[in-house]
Amino acid sequence: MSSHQVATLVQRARAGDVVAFEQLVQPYLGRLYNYLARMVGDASDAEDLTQDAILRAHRAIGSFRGGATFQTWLYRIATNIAVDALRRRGRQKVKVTSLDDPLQSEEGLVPREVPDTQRDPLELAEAAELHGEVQQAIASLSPKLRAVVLLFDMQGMSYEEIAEALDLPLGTVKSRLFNARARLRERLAPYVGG
Amino acid sequence: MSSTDGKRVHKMERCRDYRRLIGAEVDGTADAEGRAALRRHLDACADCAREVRELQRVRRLTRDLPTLAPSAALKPALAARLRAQRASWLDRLFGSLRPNEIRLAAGVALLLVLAIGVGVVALHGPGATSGPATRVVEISSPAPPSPQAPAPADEYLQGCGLVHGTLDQDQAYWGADSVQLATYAR
Repeated sequence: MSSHQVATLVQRARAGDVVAFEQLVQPYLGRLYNYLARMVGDASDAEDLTQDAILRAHRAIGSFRGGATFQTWLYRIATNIAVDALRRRGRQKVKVTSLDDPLQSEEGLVPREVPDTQRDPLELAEAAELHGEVQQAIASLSPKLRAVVLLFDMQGMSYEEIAEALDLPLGTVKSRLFNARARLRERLAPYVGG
Repeated sequence: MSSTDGKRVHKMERCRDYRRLIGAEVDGTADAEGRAALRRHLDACADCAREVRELQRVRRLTRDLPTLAPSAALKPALAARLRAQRASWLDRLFGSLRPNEIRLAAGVALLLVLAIGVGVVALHGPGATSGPATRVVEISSPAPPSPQAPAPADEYLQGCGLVHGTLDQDQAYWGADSVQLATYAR
């Protein structure tokens, strides 16, 4: 979506056009969910938080100045929502086991991860175990470090975009990323050492 | 400090200088010059070379985590909530403000309330010398008044300049068994 298209949709959304707002957020819905699920470590909470983030963005669309990109603005809201949720829970080390479980929805149980039918079951089981370990290691990070590493590695954002989304100086983004990786290296020593 | 310790400290300091470059190398953002400088250091420093290798593996692990997909119910649920969301006047007022602006507005509102409170106390407080005063008159249960003589409280109220009609006389005398209270202005 070009910046001109975004600007037009933002203008229409500000005027109360819900369809325009939906078109604005549609490209980010899946990615926001993925980010929030990894941030809070709970897939069904992530569905609620994704809705909360989008609804908050809808209410605050008037405050979107256009200085930041719509994407970074949306991620700033989502990060605040995730940090608030973690604070409410009173825990920063989140449970992670449910991420690999199917999700209970109105249509029954649905898998949360896109299934890979090409791989051997044993290999899949080993991969699932490894993913669980990595998720646990991520969950052991403080929300500040967690957000930076997820935005960079999983969301593919640049230093500059992360700085804008989290309202941080560029140097802080880089040092947090380095510190996050150093801690993950310690936690994941059996998998990365040697 | 022995010469061995000194060499180790010197090496650590030197390695610390390469932290920024190691971070950039792992993130894939190092430029050609930085990469060349780091490569020279890594050729001579096994510890840093190992660190780079392990950090790169960490990055691969986090980057390769599978994408989690939301349930199919998310989109319709969100669409319904978006349409149901009718911004209240508070949302309209504060939704367009940034958190700092909201805090500023709240601070100004608090100061205004305090200023009004101080003003009210100054005007009506014990030390006030001007402006309308409010008094509460306690009227004890009196004996029933004779039709001719004015009731004691009525005399008192008249003496105080109470505007007739602001106090229901019958209610003042008979409305309660114990105490009647009347508020008046003078």
